[in-house]
Amino acid sequence: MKRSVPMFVGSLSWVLLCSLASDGQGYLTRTESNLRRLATKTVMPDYPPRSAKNRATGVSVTELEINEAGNVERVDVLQAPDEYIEAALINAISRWKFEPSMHKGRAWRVKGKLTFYFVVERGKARVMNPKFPAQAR
Amino acid sequence: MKNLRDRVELAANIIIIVTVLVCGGILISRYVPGGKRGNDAGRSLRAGANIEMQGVDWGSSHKTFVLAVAPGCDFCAESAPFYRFLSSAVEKNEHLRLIAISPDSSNDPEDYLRQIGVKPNEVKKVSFKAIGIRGTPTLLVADPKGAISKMWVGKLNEVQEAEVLSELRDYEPLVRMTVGDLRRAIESGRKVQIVDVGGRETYAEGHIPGAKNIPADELEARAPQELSAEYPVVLYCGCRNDDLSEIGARILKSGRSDAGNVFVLAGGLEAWKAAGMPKTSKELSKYVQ
Repeated sequence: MKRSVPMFVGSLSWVLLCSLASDGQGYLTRTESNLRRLATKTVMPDYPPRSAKNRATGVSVTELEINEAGNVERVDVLQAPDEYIEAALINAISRWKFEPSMHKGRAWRVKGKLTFYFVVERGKARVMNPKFPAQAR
Repeated sequence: MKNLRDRVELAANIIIIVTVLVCGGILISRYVPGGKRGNDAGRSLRAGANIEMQGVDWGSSHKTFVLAVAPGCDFCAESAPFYRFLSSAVEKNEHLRLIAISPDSSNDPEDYLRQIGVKPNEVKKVSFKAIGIRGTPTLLVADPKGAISKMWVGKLNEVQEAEVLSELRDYEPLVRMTVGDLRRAIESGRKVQIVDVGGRETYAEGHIPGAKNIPADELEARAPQELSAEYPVVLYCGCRNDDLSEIGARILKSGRSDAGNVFVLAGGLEAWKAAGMPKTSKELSKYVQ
């Protein structure tokens, strides 16, 4: 009992120190149109045949974290028509590359979202990028 | 030996406790409002407060942008391209005005503003300390009563620049729709697109029947595909003061040719519930003629 208290307190302080250290890095949040403009390599997700066959259609939204060098470090699928599409999204978006985001003289980590539409029309399955206001009619 | 071990243990405990106290202090200073983290400037002058500047008639324009700059300020120079854009945009709009303020100790603020290419409607020398500005650049938006509605301190990032631009677009207030208006629209069989601009979790916890969930930060990408330009869009959130709905409405209005067809549901989800409105689509369908 006598030793468990300092051990608990020690662990707590370690967690606090880690949280302070990671918070110090900071990141920029970019809108999707800006994020796409910064992309130097894009990979469209495949439409998994099983999903197309099951008519799993609709919007998918992923949240990604990009490191200072412009590489994708983390992809979270926030919304997708099914789990096969989720896997296809992670596979494709992990391979995207971006220009480093410079601000105040240094490169920053970036967070942002990417949207895709999985559509089946006249028996043909395709994946579409969103239309942004400037492109929309 | 035992004595030594006890002493070491005591010393370790003291070190751990001190570390925890230091960490706690840093966390509090960072996350508790009024803490010292970040830019210290603007702590006393904040959104909602009134800005006191002699000789300024706030009521002479719908919105007044107040830009605090100081010669020699690096961030002011770095931000100059955006401020140039802001001043040229304000110049074209009779409802808006830009006042540049500089510390009363500065020699020739007009010359400095000319150098960085910013053309405000007025230039004033004021005591930053007296009005509560403690850093440059600081950009404020004041309403016709001189109350600060928005405030940004330091060099603006991309999101903050977008916020400023939305202030330019929306000098006219957003059109609000009451729950009663919405109810009447639904009852009359008018097609209305109701959008919950909150997060997925809050939407899952409860939403207006028939509402589509598009979080505010996804509207730019998703609205052109998922919302029809033919029918009115009513945005709501479960947040305080309809903040997210207003941000969403501004994003939506900037991308639509029929910007007048975008409404904010006053009071959001809470107002809907308080009015005893239906909780399910089945109940709601009874309202439609």
